[in-house]
Amino acid sequence: MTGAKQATHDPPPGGTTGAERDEADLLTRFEALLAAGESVEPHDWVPDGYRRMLVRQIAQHAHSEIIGMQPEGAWLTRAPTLYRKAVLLAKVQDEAGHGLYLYSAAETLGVDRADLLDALHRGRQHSSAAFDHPALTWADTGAIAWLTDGAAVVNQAPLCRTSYGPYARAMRRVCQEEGFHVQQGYDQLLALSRGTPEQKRMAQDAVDRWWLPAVALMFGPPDTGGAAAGVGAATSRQAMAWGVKRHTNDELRQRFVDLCVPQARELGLTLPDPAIRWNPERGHHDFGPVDWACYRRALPGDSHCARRRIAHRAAAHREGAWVREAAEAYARRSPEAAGEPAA
Amino acid sequence: MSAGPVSWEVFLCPRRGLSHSHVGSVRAADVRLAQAAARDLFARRGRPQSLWVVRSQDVHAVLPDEKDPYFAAADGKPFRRPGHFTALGAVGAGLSADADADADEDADGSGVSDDH
Repeated sequence: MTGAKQATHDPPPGGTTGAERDEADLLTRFEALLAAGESVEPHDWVPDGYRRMLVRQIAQHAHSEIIGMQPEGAWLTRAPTLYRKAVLLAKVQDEAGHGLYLYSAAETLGVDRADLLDALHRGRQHSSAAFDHPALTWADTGAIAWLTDGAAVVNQAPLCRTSYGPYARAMRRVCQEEGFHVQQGYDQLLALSRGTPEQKRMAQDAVDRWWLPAVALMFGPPDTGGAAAGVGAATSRQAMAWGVKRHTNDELRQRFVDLCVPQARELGLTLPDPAIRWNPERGHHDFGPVDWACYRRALPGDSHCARRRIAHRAAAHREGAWVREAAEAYARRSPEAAGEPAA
Repeated sequence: MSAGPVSWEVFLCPRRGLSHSHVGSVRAADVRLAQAAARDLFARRGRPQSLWVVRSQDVHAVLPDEKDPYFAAADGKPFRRPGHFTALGAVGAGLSADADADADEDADGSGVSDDH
């Protein structure tokens, strides 16, 4: 419910002590909801920190969906067959839809999508840096769908049970569609891998370039393992205490690697990490440490590709202004079409 | 920022025999654009039986703060549920006298007891 009015909680008369008691009471009710595993809904009172964390996370997520349209969207006019073009078009359209579900969810927290988009364009909010890499060949569209969408599914499946109701409902829709994306990316890479030696080389090259962005940037900084985890660990702990997140970044990263290794084998492609090997003691695949310093230098969004993505998005928004204005002008002239009751 | 396009709630009936369910919301300047946005966003797979859009501001909710007084009439009336009564066929033949007496109270005055 985007436009429905938020319930306001005016402090009762009687000064600060009453208000404080009121707030303590509300906090107890909020924590009881979380403890009972009930979903938190837009009309419920929530602590400011919870609201801020959700706005930040949902906005970043929404921005990533719409910026994520760009690397693949650039290949729409150059798809090798009409069939592959139709598939890619459907996939890119889904990403736009995911952005819209998520902006709606964010709006239930009392923000406006116009302000969130403005913050993205001005560089005050960011999308995932995973998409700040160029899509150099047609095989990149397959590698992006298989690896970054695959990472997204691992990340997002637990978010279908996140504590904030509108976010969880948006994620359930998103996850259903991401499943299709991973499948079609895998299918496309399989076709290339079984094609000519050149096509197979192209697929391998794309996987080589998209593996690390997926492993590192789709899951975020390490948040387990003592001192190395740093600030990430504290944020993760708070997110988990509030039921916003259900697993640490590192747990999800491990799950992703474990899923990809057998799939890569079936594809006949190699994951570009010589350290990957099955560890029977842990029951997981070991993999090489991520060079976080390299990514921190690239953050937040000062790489050439990142600037191009934002500039492209801002230009599309600016160039679409006349369409939005025309639609508004038409609605003003015919109030009935705008849903106003007839006078 | 200016107000921008208004918010619409979207209800979808996926196929015959089902009722419309709320699926989410879209922003659009007018009814036709809202319907088109709702189609593009919520009906990309499968062909729904019907799609409604309703201006979000036309949804009149009862806020949970009012819940206690507003919905309290439903409390304390276990006899509105079939499980409250002796199971059919549990007592010899037919309904028990007690169950009939409870149901006859008909506390909401609707003249309908929904269990028999």
